[in-house]
Amino acid sequence: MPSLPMTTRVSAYPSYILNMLALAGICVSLLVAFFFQLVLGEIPCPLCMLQRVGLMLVGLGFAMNVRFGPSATHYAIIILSAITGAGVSLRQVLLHIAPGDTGFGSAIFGYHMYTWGFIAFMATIIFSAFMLMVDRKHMAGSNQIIQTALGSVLIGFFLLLSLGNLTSDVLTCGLAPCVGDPQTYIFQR
Amino acid sequence: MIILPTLLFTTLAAFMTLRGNRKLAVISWVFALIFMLGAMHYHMDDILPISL
Repeated sequence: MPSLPMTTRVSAYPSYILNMLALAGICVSLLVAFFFQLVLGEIPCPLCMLQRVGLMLVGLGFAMNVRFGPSATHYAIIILSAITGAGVSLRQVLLHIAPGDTGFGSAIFGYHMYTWGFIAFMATIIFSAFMLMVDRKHMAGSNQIIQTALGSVLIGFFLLLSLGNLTSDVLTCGLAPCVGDPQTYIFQR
Repeated sequence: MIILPTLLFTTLAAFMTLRGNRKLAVISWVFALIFMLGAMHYHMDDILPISL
């Protein structure tokens, strides 16, 4: 019986699908952040931007799983990035935790974005722990490269969102340290 | 400026992942994380309204 091509075998494996879905979830989260910034006019504060970076660093781990196959190194990247991002989220939650504080920015379903960020980072850590068990017999960690059209499109879209955040940071802060509560872009000053 | 380096390395890592260069992608992630920790140290200096 002839063996299936690499792309077919990998695409059929549940881990590949789950990592693709996780990467898609990261992309959706970054899109929601851009919606708040570009449509509702809420310019991201430095902590908000750092949480976006945390999401992107987490997304990198998922993208590596999609491109190179599941690996303990990639899951370590996801977990360490999520812990870092959660640290920023928790810090912002604590800044607005006092009674009477209305929080920073708009709320979605009753929670502010930094609270959702903390929940998302915690969920990512739990998901990675679960995936480490699912993938325990399929860890690649090798130099294989998995080329699928959907995987390439998703990673390409993730790259575009990274470039968008890079541009956004330059337009918000320029080459100076970001101010705590930015109200305008550098070209409006 | 403080957050810019981590965004640059994150974008580079995403590009290297898309290109299929795992080693450079992981190295870029390490630099991105280091610069992020530096940015956190710089920006997370507000006094909290509660006592921990």
